[in-house]
Amino acid sequence: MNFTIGHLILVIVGAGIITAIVTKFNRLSGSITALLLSIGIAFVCFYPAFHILPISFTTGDYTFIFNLSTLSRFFLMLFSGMFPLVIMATVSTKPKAHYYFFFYLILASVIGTISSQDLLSFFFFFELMTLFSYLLVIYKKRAIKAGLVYILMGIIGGLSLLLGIFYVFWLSKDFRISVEILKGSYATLFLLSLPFLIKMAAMPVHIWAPDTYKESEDVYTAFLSGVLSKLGIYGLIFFWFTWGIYGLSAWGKVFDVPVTGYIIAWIGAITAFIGAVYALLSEDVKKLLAYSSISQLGYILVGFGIMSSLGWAGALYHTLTHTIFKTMLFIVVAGIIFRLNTTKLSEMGGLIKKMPVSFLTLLVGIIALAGVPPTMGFASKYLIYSALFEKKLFLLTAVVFAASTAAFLYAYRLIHNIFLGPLKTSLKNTKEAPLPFLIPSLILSLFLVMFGFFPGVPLEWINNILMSLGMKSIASTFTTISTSLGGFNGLLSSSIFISIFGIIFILYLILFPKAKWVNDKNTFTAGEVMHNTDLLTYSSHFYRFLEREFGLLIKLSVKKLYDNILGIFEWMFDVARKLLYHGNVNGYVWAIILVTLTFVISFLIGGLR
Amino acid sequence: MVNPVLLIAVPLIGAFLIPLLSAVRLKVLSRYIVFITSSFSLVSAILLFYHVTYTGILSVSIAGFKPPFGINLEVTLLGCIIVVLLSLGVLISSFYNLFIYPSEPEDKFNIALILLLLGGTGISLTGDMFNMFVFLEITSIAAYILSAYKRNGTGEEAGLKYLFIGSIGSLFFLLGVILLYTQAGSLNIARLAQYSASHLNNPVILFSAIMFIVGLGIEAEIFPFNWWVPDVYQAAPDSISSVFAGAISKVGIYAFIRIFITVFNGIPYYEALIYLVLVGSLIAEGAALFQKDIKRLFAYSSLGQIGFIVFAFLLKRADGYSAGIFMLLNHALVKMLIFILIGGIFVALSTTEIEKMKGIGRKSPILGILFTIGILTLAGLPPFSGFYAKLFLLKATFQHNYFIPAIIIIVASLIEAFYLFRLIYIFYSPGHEKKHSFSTASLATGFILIILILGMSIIPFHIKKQYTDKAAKSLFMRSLYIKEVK
Amino acid sequence: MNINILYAALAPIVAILLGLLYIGIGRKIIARLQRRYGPPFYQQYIDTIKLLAKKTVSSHGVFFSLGPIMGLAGSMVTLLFIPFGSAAPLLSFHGDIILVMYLVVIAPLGMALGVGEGSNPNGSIGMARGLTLMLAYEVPFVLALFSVVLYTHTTSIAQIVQSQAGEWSLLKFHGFNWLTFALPISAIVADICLQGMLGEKPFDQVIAPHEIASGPMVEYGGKYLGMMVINHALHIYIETALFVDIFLGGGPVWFFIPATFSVFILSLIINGVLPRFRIGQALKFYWGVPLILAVIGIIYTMVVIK
Repeated sequence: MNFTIGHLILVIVGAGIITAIVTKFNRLSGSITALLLSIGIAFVCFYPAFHILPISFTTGDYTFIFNLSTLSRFFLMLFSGMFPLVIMATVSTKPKAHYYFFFYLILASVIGTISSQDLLSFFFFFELMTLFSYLLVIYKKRAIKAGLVYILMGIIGGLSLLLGIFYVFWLSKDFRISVEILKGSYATLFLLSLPFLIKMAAMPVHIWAPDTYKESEDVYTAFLSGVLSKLGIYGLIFFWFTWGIYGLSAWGKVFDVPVTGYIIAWIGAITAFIGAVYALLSEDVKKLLAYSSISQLGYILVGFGIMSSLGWAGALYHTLTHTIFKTMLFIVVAGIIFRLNTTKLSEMGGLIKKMPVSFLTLLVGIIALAGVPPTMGFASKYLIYSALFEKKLFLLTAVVFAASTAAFLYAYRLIHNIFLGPLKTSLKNTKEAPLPFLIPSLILSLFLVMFGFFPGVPLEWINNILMSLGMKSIASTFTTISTSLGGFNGLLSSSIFISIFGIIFILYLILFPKAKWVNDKNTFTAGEVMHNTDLLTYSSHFYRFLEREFGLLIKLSVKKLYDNILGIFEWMFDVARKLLYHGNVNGYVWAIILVTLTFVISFLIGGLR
Repeated sequence: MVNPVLLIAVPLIGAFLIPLLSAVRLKVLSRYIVFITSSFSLVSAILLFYHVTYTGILSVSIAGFKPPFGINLEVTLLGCIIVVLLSLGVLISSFYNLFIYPSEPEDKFNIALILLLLGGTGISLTGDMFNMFVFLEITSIAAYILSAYKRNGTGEEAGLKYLFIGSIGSLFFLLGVILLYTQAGSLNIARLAQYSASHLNNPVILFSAIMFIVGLGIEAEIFPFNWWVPDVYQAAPDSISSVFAGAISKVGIYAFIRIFITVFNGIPYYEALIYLVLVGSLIAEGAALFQKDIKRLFAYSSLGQIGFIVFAFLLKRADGYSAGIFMLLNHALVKMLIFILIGGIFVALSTTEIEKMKGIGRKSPILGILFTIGILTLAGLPPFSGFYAKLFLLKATFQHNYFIPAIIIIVASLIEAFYLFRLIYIFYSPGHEKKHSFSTASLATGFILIILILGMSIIPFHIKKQYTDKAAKSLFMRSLYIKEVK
Repeated sequence: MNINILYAALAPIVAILLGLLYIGIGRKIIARLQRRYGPPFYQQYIDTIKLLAKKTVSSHGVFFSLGPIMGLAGSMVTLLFIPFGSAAPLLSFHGDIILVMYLVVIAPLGMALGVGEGSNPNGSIGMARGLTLMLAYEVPFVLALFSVVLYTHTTSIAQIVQSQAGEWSLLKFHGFNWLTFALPISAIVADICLQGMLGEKPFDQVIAPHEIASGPMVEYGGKYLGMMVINHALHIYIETALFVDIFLGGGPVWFFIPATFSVFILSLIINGVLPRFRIGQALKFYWGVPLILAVIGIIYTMVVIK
């Protein structure tokens, strides 16, 4: 069956309208409708028998072209696959009509963005996506202030993109991208990268992310973090690719990496590390995950900046991994918040027995986040490290590794503060999160583990992308990945781990007698009698010792810098306004006379042109 | 085919009718008269536009005296567009006034409104310089009266300021006309165009150009002559601010364009003017950041946008003119919408202070949606028509190889985004607990305007091709204008 | 290959026996340092058997029990990818040093889960410190490894061992192939990091018997404690084996065992005479001198390669 991209977008918009109308009548059936329609859309995007054809139309001297490149297909499948899972998780929260309406519009604009092959359509859909995302962020009253910062940063990115696009237009007299034109221009590079760095919340333009992620509706945060941030890496590859790799080395190389890439890699590394530090110091679970997102996206930037096959493979692989596990983590946490009605980590604890399924899925997510086998997180980390080693970038390796280890810290904090430790008395009657949250989490955990066993499978798709962009592919089979330096066998290491675990577990069952279960009030307290075990929960300021040692550094804030800079500009404008529009009509008349005299005098002197 | 003279005659008759009616104590009918008159103007202007599209510029001599002795009306595409906008604005305003009564005395208010319509139409359709001055005076005086209509301190102060500065503008305009007359011996615009084309080196001609810059600059709200705008827009009654911001400013721009593109064919101090205008936009947008009163905020916003529109017309290219006309259309519709909605807010809350408007978006979702669409269009975000307006403008700018202006435009857009989204933030913040009912009249008028804006957003390229490109082309080819009068 | 599978199956047992032996001898040496007699060198075997023989097993929950199991399983998987000197590469051709760096993390993380369910704040504090310590020592360590990778152009541990191969004979000293001599600075850095990895003073904040009641081990008793002791032994083996393989050339069995033992004793002696850092101090320390040394080591390596 053939249909064009335009049809796909219209279908999605139509689905949004239908869902909105149904939700107006009955919220639950609205959610179900949304779910079914989203599954349908995903099916259409995945099933190979449906050919999605390019489309282009021309009006006047404007031409708009839409086509799905290999890169676009990858993202299309990723996003359309994530969409139903996120929608599924919204069923319990019973959102209003305009929630689903904007959600579908966001998906439509995302697909429009990734299928645009000319600059104007790209800009159109990119801005549209930012706008609808903003409208969905302010769905919750508490998110109004955060939404303001979000849309303003989005518009700064949008205007930078617009200026960059018009600069390209001026150089090439065309809005379609052409390779030769873009070589060697500092301004274009900066202008065309800034919006995507903002989207990916790279430092120092990340200021919108923590508050926006925290305040927006819990399930939507999963989509924001999982899907929308990936538009950043898509945009970077899309625009940088058109330079051609050869064009980039026009500024020279550092350690055999183009300078421009090196700068991006450093931005990524610093983001990864500082993001992780802020994550482990957060007291709020959504803020922790927000900083974690910022940190993980930093890895993608590192991989991208290395500008080698391995680097880009690592970046794309980590895009896939991060989308899956971050969406899953946010959904699980949304389920927990749904039950507990709090997002403060200090108010949670000991939920492992009450919410075992959430615990298991969060555990898989944490393992993937840490990049430990047997999940696919390891493969992406492996590729990035191999890329770093291959190009001998030791300082970057150190920072990335520090960030990676810091990830263990906040990952452990996340799972410990929510599920481990003694059960708080206020949480005695907590039930497991409702099914709509659990099903997507389980499905996604399955993928994480499956690709851990078979790390070569996503790599095959990624190799297709690399070859379409003109780079060498990474040698891989379904189960192994090999690089010029070494390699690993995912199936082997994962199965050995599982089998050893199994053997020991069986031995344990055989050799160990039935355990005597003790409850969490029965712990070693060196002889003291504790009446209130709530006081024994070690959760707030988990890493206080770090806060103590590095306190001063943590107090520095980019946000204050922005406020100061904005303050200066505002002051300038205020002075101008008070000077000129002072309200005194005599002054106005004098001003007019002065201007006239200036014109007259220059006329008399210059003799006019 | 409508005789263009009717477009001037009918409002005039209406203006005379109202005092007659008041004498027989039928003051109330005056607002219906305005409504009917402006509807007639709107329909006629639209028909005239299509007529001119098919048959070219129309020249109508008044009272049978052929130019250069008699006065003629020269109806161009751009002129028709302006008349359409003006009559739409007055129509909307009068529709609003049908339900929300303006302050007493009502009949004089409506007379002034009709005179505003009359004057603006005259400026847009006339082919004679002195005639234009007369209509300019009519428009100005009507505007002075209307801006001072609220008899609180601000109204009178604003009216007085407008009077002073506006009078200086008229003075300079008249001086310019006189100077031109001494050189060219004719007051007919086409004749003057022909004359100045061959006599560009005449210093008197160039001096008169300076006079026109000042005079029309004041009327067209160009920096550095637009000092009167913030006070007047703030103090005038809301429906009048809507007409001012939406239509009268465009009339002023039309006058500016007609003089400088048709008569002078290019402006001296061209580059200086470009930068002056853009800097003015920047300052205006920056000033808007601090405003606590919503009408003043949108007054400064208007100044910014008008700076861009004038810049578009300074680009000396047909696509620049087309972009300017598109922006003009878009801006007119948006500003009319916003000020009418502000009117609705004022009726409900009795205040125009922004801080006091917290949360009204939640209390009245329809108002919130209409206002948000207006703000998004103003900010230039897709998918609304404001985006296309900026797009066309930037394309024309870059094709002219102007970088710094483009950067200034984008910086100004950025500043705009700041205060506009802050408005949305305030509207949707949790706030007002009391229920307010927002006048249906303002919502209904808002609705009509939204439909027009959405129409522009859905088929922008069609509008560009069918309307603005044609109007721009006819503007660009001044020879057509001159030919018609022979 | 068949021999290799046999070796792979035997490796955990050998590692456990060796590890426990080292700890036992270590206790004797420490005692002598502290002018005591100390327990016999086979004491650790006795302790482990005693612990495993305890009948009562009290547990806080499923994951509490799974913690030590995960720890053991993780350690065992890890050691399969570390060659036993140059004698038995085990599975190290199927995984390289990056894999090992991540596998090493599985054991502590598994333990961390179990400890968390133990609901004892001491345990949680211990784990928080453990992770912070990991953050501290991993960075200089990975830089030291980086210089090795630079020098040998491979990330496979087996190949690193092979690159230091020479004729091993009891009489002649063939140590000049060792990377310790090729990259001395990196070797020193790695040894400093080893001190933290082994959890010996001044870096034993994780256990810190006097402060946090043995940290992660606080809730575990009986059989579980026995498993944890075994885990500790495996851990010692893994760390020292990694160091010997990379910097001391691996070597045949008769060299490998004494080498790992010597490395362990070196760190034990340092442990015996030093007090404990605060965890913040530990972090500051590792990110101070060792980090700078590691960077110098890499620059040195790059110079040497040219």
